[in-house]
Amino acid sequence: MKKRMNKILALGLTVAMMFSIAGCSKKDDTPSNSNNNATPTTQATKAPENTPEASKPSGSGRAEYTADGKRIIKVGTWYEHYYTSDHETIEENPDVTDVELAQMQLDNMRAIEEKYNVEFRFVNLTWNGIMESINTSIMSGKPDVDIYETDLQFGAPAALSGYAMDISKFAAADSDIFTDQTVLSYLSFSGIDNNYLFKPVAKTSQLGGNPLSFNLDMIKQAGLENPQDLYDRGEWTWDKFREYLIATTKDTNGDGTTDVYGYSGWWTVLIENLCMSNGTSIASSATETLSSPATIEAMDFIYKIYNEDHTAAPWNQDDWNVNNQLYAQQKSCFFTGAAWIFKEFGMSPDVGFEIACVPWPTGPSGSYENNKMMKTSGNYYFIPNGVEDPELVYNVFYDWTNWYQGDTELRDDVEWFQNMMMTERNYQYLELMGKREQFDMWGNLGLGDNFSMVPIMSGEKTAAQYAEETKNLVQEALDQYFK
Amino acid sequence: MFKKKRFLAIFLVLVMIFSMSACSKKDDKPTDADKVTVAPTATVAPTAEPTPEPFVGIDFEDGNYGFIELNTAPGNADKSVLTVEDFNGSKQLKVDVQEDKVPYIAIDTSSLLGDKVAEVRSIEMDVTVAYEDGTFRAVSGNVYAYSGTDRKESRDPWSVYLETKNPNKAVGLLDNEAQYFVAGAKNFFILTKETDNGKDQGFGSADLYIDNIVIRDANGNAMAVDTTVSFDKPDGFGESDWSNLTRVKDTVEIEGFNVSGDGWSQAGVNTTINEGTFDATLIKPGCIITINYTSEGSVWLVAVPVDGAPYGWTRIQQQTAVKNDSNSTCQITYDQIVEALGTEDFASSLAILQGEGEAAWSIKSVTIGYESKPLPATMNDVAIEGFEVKADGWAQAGVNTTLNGGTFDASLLKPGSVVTINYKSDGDVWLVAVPADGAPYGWTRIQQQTAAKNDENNKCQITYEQIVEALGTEDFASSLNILQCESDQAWEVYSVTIGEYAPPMVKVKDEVAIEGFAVKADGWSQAGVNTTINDGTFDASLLKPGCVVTISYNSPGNVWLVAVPADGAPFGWTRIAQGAAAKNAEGNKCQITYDQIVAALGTEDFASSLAILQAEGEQAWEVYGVTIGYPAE
Repeated sequence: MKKRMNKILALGLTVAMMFSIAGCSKKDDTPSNSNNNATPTTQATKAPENTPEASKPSGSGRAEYTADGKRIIKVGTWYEHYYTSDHETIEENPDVTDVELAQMQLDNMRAIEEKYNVEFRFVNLTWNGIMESINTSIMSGKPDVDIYETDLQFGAPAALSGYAMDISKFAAADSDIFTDQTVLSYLSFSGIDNNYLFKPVAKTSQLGGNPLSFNLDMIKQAGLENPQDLYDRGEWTWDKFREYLIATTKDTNGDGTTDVYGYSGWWTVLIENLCMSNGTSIASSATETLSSPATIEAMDFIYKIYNEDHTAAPWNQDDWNVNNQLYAQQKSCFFTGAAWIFKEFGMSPDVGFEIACVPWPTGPSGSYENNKMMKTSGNYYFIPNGVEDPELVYNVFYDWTNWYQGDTELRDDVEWFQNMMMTERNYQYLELMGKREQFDMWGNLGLGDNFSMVPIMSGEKTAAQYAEETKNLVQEALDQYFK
Repeated sequence: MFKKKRFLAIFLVLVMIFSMSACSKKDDKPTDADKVTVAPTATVAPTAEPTPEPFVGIDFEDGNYGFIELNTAPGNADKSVLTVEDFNGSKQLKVDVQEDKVPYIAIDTSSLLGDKVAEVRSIEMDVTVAYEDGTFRAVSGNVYAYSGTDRKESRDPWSVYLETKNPNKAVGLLDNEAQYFVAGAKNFFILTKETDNGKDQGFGSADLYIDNIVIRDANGNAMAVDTTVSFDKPDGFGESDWSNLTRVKDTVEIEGFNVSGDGWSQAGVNTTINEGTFDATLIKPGCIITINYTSEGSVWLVAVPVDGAPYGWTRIQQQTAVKNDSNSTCQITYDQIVEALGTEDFASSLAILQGEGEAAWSIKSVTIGYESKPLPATMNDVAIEGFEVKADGWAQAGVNTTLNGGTFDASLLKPGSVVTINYKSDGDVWLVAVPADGAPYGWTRIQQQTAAKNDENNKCQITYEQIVEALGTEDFASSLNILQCESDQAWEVYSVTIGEYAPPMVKVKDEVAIEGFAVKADGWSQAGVNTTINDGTFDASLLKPGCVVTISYNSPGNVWLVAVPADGAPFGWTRIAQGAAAKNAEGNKCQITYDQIVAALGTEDFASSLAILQAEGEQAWEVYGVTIGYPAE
């Protein structure tokens, strides 16, 4: 607490300095390069006071200004955000809990307004409205807002359809987003050089991966080396994983029925992680990759463990949670883990054995060094084409996001995740996975029951058959997605 | 002569324009004044002014909107008021939202277009958002299409998301063959408003104004519509008047049974044994035939036999078929048919099944179905705040308890409580309990796929006792962190309430209506009738031992009676059976017994000192009628 108080004090001084600097500067001072273009001309400043939002007198004419010449920067969204230029007190957020952090955010907003001579607002366009706004106003050449917040199901198509501005047009090559990614990170699309979508970095959102988890006691009883050690040495491969699954699948009472399976868990998580560990995806760009050799390899691995080795617990389609909780009943050795799964179905002290986690093994087409490890999720932002002075817009958004002035300890409370992951080593692997995100939109294509690994798990289809039969469906969905 | 002068004038103007143009520099920017000077060119071609094409569609200028109706059946439906009003310089359809819920505005495309409905490919309309305080906030919703003989749902989103784009156009598209409308299938569009930022921010819901509805064909041409038609309800649309009737399920419509006739004339359908399409063997033991009609009188069935049948030309339930209060639907049971024809084997010798009435009649549809058991009525329901959630199949969402920093007080779940879940899902919906650390129970599904639900599959009930059984403790509230819903299919929960079962209503006979007891008021306000001792018409002595007062009403809450005494009465101003009246499953009728009145007023001699008998409810209410009757059994 004392440490945090010091930090808050330090940050308070920083913000105060920002105010002081702003206070000393002359009205026509140009605080930075980015502000240069944003400074309204004299004509705008002279706009009659009864004109609520005077038209922009210079530049492209697309930006909006207040009567006293402040650039209005608007972010289109579909829910409430705090704190912005619309807020005067921290109590305006009805859900405020940490008043110290809230005050810092509000103070930061005031400092930004002063520093850039802007007003920064979120505009709730509704979920439907934000999509309509993207699809209509950007094409017309005058975007309704300066930044759009998006869910990837419509943000990705918008970016790939040419509605978004390449980040390099407004962020320098040595800026945070292209280097440390402390405050903002970007989403890269497979096979596309430009990057359009960015999002605030939050440690907690990087801890949503599904590490391959296992019953360490079973591994030891089987006389097998800890997969974590294998991973650290770069020797944790699909072949090794398959060996382990065979070794840990047991008929404990000799009645001819398997009592403990090598693997259990959701097929959705299995196929995603096998794809990532094999350097592939299902639908990460406008062209499907379900039928790519590497993805067929991933599906074939599933086919083998379910139908040839019989080392995977039979799939329960009626109740998906049953598939996730078998580990807690010691009916499987390896399973798809996650902080929420441990929370819901049991952690090491509760389940009666030690749970360990490891990144997924490297597939034959994958790369230990470069494999992606966590599916991208969450909301992304983009600056639409046609926005005036995007550098200013970006800088304001960056500063607004960085209310913690780079001190990520104020931003990130990872204690819950640390507790859920049970050991430091488990947590470190989860953290590592979160740094290697992959975008795969198969889950956003509305495929529903038309896409499923069940036919492969049941042996009804081989991987190649399934890919051949389903690739057109995925492609059609992608075409619809990007139309 | 006049023409010559005008041409001369125009010529001079053009010369001036050319002269001015010649003097100006190339990069000179035209001023507004310049633009004005150029304007006379329009005079050169006075006949070139394009004549605006006549509007083809629905602009409400004729005041007609009978082809539009609200669907109030969904669990989250608002009972909005529709009117045509002058707004922004034209007549528009106003959707006056009443309850901060979702208005479902249905447009009967089939009636508007007749057989041409099969050519429809899109609908568009201008939607304006209006808040009471005049401030703009964004709203959005969907345009749903119900296509084909099974009226399969598809949808397109719409929104009014910026003040500068208010009104905005809402568009519904029929993108592919599966979505095309089918003639005679009663296909239609519904516009909803599902997101309302004003409501979410505590400013109340926006009203909508709808104008310029245009229905287009495959070539994008606006289609002519007949705005004088009335909304023709498909089966299952909206809230039907089931008063006096038996709710039915698994209904099958008898094809071609939309017929009409004058009083005492008959029309109907031929059976398959008489070169027709109606298979009379569909009329099986236990079934109920439901006839939807319009008539000033009663409607019944007529059986026309083939030669050699064991029965003759027979009227079935002539003027005795059970019908609803609004005289729009009647029902005839299998047993009544058998009784009338004297044989169970009537199907093999039935040539024609007809309708008949003593006044001119028109049958919209005839269905064969079976009795549906509605969920028991509940009362004193309290909605759990924030329990408007949705998720995919096998995913959960719900509310945090106060124990877990939320607002839901789990101690509201007491012995006798009933949790009612209003939802939309193709599967079953149930509860999930997420415990706090150290709870005596784990993560638990409650009544998974076994919760009592209605036939429409949009409401289910779980009792306190079932929760206790699932969690193994009565003291679950002290360790419940989250209460969630879950389903085996994608689901959306509109509300979750906690109430208790209402006492069941009894069937009554010899009912007498209390004149003038059609009244309405806001919550906790009263309205009713004066008694004869108070210059009114209601004779309170009609309230005799054993009688039952039945109140027909519309309110989201409970309704009860209030007794206002005359001076010197032995009782004071008194609420009678507040939250304790017997109630039907539909929640639109309740009953209060003579004994309850006596118990509340403390005397059997209340009639001599009762000045006013009123109704009251804890929420806005409207009473359609109050009767006094006696239990039938």
